[in-house]
Amino acid sequence: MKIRLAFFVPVIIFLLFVVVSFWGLYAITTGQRSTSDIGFSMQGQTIPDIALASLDQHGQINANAPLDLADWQGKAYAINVWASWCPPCRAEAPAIHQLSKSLPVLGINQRDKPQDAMAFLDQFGNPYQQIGVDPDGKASIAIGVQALPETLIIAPDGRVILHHRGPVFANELHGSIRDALNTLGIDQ
Amino acid sequence: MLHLTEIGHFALSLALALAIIQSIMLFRGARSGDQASIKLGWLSAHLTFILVAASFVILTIAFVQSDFSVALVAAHSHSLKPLLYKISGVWGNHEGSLLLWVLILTLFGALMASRLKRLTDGQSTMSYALSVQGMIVIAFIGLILFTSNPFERLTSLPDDGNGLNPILQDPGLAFHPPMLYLGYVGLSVGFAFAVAALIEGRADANWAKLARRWVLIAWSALTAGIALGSWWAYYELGWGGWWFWDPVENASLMPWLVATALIHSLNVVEKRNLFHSWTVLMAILAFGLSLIGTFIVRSGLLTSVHAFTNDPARGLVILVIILIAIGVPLLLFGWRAGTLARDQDISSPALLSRETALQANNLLLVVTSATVLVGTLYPLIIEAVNGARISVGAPFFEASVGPLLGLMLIVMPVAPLLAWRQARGKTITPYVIPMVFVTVAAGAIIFMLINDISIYAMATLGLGIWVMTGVLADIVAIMGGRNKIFHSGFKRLMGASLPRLGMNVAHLGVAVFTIGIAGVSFFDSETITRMQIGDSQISGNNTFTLAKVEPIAGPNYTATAATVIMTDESDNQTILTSEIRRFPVARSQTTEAAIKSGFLGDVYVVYGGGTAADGFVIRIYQKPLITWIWGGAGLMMLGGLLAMGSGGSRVSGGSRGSKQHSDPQRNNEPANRPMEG
Repeated sequence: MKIRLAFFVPVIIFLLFVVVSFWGLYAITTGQRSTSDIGFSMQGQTIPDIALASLDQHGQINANAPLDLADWQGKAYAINVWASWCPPCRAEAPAIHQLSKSLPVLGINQRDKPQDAMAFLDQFGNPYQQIGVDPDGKASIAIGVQALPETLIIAPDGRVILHHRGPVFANELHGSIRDALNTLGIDQ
Repeated sequence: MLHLTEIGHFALSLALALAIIQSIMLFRGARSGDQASIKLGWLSAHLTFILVAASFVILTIAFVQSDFSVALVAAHSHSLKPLLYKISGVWGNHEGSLLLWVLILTLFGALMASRLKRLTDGQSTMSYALSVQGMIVIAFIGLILFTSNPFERLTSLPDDGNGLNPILQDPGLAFHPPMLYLGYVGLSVGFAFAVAALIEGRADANWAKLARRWVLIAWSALTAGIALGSWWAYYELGWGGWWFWDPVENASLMPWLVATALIHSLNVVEKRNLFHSWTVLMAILAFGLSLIGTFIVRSGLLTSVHAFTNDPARGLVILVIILIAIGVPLLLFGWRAGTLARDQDISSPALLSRETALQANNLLLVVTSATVLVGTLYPLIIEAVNGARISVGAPFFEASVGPLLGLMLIVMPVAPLLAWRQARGKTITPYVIPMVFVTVAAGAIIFMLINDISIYAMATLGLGIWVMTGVLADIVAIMGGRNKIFHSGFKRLMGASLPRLGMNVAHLGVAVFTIGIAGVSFFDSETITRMQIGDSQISGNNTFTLAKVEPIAGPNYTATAATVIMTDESDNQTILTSEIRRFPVARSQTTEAAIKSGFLGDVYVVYGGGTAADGFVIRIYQKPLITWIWGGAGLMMLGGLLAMGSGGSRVSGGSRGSKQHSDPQRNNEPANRPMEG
């Protein structure tokens, strides 16, 4: 019988998987990492300071006039994370327009090409006061985004009073979002 | 209440004891050939199934009777729920779904056991396999009893239950998990055979024949399970998507890809006595990836939109089970794989041969599966290495998996035409030239008919047609080739072997599926609009008129229903009603799309809420050929089931005797090919 080293390759790869997974779980139990690190709910938390290069109306990425959340402190606003490649983002477009009538909506455009994002805005309209580009998704992760689209409503003191996952449809507008706006004293 | 719940708990504990007996006795019997041990193992495998079935029935009774003294029922059911969803509530949660998993596992154990008695050849292989199967049962019943007991009682009785997540209250989802588990767990049989082969140091044609049907039924169930889940997402989530590259979906795709590879490589073991160690590895990996998928879903390791529980402690237990269940066989593989090849044909197959084509198929499927695994785990790996957090989205998977599967589709239709060992160009060109001609001609017609067709759309459609021509070519070959097709073609087709017919049906399914993807990915359109009652909107070739929006009441929900009348070019009217349902108990809501399904695609209308003052949001999607996606999956499943039939020609003598075959497959038929059927 001949033992060949090549036959041990699968078990070695498998053990690597186990080590990484074990680390992933062990780090959760010791508190080093929490599953909530990706896709945690921002509800009730304070929004971190994020500054992103902005997408201007000509489809140019502009680092000189960034979308800086610090500029919005003291005001109530909403953040909508979207991308042109995300079908539910298209589905929620009318509702985001509706929302933009009640308070300023900032867009975070995740992992998108500027020209695709512009085509999306041409087709569905642009409800955003400002758009920040998040090419590698890091800013989205920092605010707990799990999957597109997600919408957050932020109070003047920086507290997130609603973190909504998934598309906003008119029903959310008349439910959780209306409640959040009522808390802020905004009439729809 | 007769303390039924406690009896269920007891039956499950007893099943654990019997699974231990099953495992030990069959191992002993397989080693020594002791018939008494085998008989005892046979009996235990049956009893384990009966006991697990009893405990499953008892849990179901608790759900049907809304016995809220059982913690699981209180947490996941409600007295107002319709009966079907009370029953599906049994597996709509972590504990109950594990019990369903074990039920299917022991069902397969009992089926294997009843086969064991009738075997004269390969009894030791089957005994080892059933012993391994018993070990898996032990691990999973242990997991249930020690970490996830579904029979736990509450000390104080709640007035009513918490209800089932309303989005799960749907017939598509009631049957999706059982189908999927049938697939995942069915792969455990192939896995058990692989471990048996490693123990015995033999994976020959006989072994492949024993394992083949089990793998095929598991693969067919997995295909159906994945398709049901995708179909459910399509009509339930309300924006017409059918695949999202979510970790949970990837978890089901990975074992499917490897199981597909396994089916093809088993064929090479059976017919040509080659690929032994590779096939054994595929069998281990197919089930291994099913376990890893379950682990990813249930441990909270990765974030997913439909994770069951986020319990790292429970995740660690599952990880230890995986470490033993997959690590030990893989170690065994490293040590013993070299012994598997026996009486191997030493002349290696030619470059142009079916072996080479199937090798390409296997490599591409495994690379695709590995790509999906890496994409799914990449965020975790990066975080472990440098602490950075990233996410991998649909664009990565589409860009990587698409081309890999495209390559496979190029090889796929030619492979069945190639002979084993060495295919001769002369025998395949009469098939391949017309195939290329038909594909190019069909492509040219499509190019002329559709304006501005993108290169990707063209390529995807072309691949679908190419695969379809391959199926036609093989049917022509079965019918005796161009010379005999009208003479005795029908008779030959009727007499063709079921595995070969099954293969063609499954490949046709792949072609149909590919064309469906092309249609829905490149030619879909959507109209999102705000309408008042009586307003009309044109989308595609149809006019849509909003007739009414009204409240309605369901059994455990209230809803707002929007009725849209669709008028087509020839003034035929179709009434489409889409609803938003609100579930007061679970405090959540679901969207019910109105879908007009047709052969050429769907019209998909969704009511998105609104008021009479602002207008009602209506979204209209045209989804061309989307029905082909489900149809293709259905054909694949059917093909898998057909292929379970006995191999070889069903007509004795028949075409086999004639001197000059125009069937390219039959050239160079190996002389030592086992006669079946």
